[in-house]
Amino acid sequence: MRSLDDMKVSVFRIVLFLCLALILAFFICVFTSPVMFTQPWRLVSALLSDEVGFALSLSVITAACSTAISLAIGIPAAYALSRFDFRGKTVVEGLLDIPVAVPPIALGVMLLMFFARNPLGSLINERVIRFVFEVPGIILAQFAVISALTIKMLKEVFDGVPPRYEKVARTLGYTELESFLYVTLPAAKRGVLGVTLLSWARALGEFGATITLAGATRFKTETLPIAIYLNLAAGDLESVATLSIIFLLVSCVTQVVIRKLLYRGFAL
Amino acid sequence: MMVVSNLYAKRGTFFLKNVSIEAKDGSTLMIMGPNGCGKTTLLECVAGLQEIDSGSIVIDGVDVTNLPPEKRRIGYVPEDYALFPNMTVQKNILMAFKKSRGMGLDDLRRIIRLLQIDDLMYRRVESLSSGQKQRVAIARALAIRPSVLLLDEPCSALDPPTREAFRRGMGDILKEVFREFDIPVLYATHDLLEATAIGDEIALMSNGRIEQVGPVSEVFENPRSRFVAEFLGFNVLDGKVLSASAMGASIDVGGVVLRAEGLGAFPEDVKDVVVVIKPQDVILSPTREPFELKWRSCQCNVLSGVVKHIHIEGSMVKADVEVGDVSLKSYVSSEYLEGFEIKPGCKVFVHIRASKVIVLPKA
Repeated sequence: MRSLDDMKVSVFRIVLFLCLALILAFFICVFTSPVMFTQPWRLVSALLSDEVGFALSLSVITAACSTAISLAIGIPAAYALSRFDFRGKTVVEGLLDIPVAVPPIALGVMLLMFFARNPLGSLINERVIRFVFEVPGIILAQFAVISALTIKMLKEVFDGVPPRYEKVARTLGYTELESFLYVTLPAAKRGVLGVTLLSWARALGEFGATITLAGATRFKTETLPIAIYLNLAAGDLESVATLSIIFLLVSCVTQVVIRKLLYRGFAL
Repeated sequence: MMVVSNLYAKRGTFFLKNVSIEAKDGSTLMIMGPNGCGKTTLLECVAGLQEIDSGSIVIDGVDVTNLPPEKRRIGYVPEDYALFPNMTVQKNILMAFKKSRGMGLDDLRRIIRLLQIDDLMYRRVESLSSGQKQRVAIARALAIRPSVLLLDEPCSALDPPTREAFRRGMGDILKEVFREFDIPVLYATHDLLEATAIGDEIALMSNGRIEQVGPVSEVFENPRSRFVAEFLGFNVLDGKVLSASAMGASIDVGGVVLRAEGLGAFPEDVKDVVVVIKPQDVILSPTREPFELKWRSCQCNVLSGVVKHIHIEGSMVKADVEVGDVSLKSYVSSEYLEGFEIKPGCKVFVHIRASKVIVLPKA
């Protein structure tokens, strides 16, 4: 009997690890394929080229902007969701699930329609900031895609900081705001940094909403993903491969940093 | 001095109902009761962390009922100490000290010495043992020079073997605290030993209500309700008054008739009562005569029973004795038992002095 049980366990374990190996092999094949379309020296020259330089810096900067805006709004919003119960909280949380599930291209279309037909939207676009087919549109598109996700992840982070710390801080003489700034936020520091990087990485790769709202104009609204798209459309596979590898490298660095942050825990 | 009057509060589906307590300067008021009876909610109301529906909280003559927690100057040590993570002990204490008024660095050093945490100042809080955390948390709470100190189950995070030592340590710490600060301490616990070892007064809570408040010895001597008697581990029996006179009363307890010295201020028509007998007052003897001379002159109930179980706890022998259909707990010192032997199954005589039979009205 016992050996039969052992057998079952070992077959089960083999299946587990086979699946793991399968997915690993799949991604290794996918990730190494661009190498066959380009040479190492091309990578260097591409990095030095005007177009890649422009796309990379535009991506990094717009992603940083949209992440910063998401955090500025998301940290207070997530804290409110984490700490308070209020009427309609489930509705709010449900609404925040929608932007995460809707395809970015649909989000982009809705944004475009907002600026085209909605009186408030067209007023903003005409008089305040031009978003349609302009750089601010990239930031807005990225914000639309990442903000809800940022808030959801930040809520998890704040949920992990017991409210007791704030309670004690209040009794020590700290106001609600001071308790948040001096106790909760430092306790959630690693978590918030992790969310920042994940949001930034997601914004960096944003394509669907960006191309719909900001368009794909070379040297104007050309972020890294849009550069890949433009080169692919032009049939320049070597450039496409190079840009993909650059993306891969950026993701690797982000992941390593996030892992470093998370391995040391959310520091609770 | 802190006075809480007629406090009502709601927390989810839980209610605090008409809670009134007084905590005197330089003394410890134990807030006692089973888990979920509202101890933490009461402490949080006092600290201002929990909204109250009505009632008032007055500290040293100042009504703080409507003040936010940061304006109340109440030292609060929650159940798991809640030391701020990612900080050293020093930083934790300085967080409090920064907001204190009228505290000098010398005062702070005295607190640190008092709690014997001088050596821990540069340690990160994650690396401390539970006992060290407890002392750091108390130091942090004292560093604001509080007007009241609240301790929520400060010993519950400790392992049982170290608990007893900490219980004693806690008593010493509080003595020192009182020497330095003449403030009231509210100490929540569900541990009877802790309450008797540390407390000056005790407030017993059940289901959001205060069941009884008073000096520890008084509450132990005169439990005023069935809940209090049961919580204190006493024998609690339902009884029917058979006859009552100025001389005393006869009460039928499950077929066993007990004499009590009187029904006190009972209305005459009360028939259903609760009889409370402390286990220490259930004296066992091999004969009809009490085993010790000093009990001979008292009016005494002598019942014959059979020992069911014996457990020995330290120098105390706990015996369950069956008298008819009634089961009685008896605590006897092992010294007393050296005179004769009791074993499960053996027949004994149970002596209960009539003056020790407490009779309460049935709620």
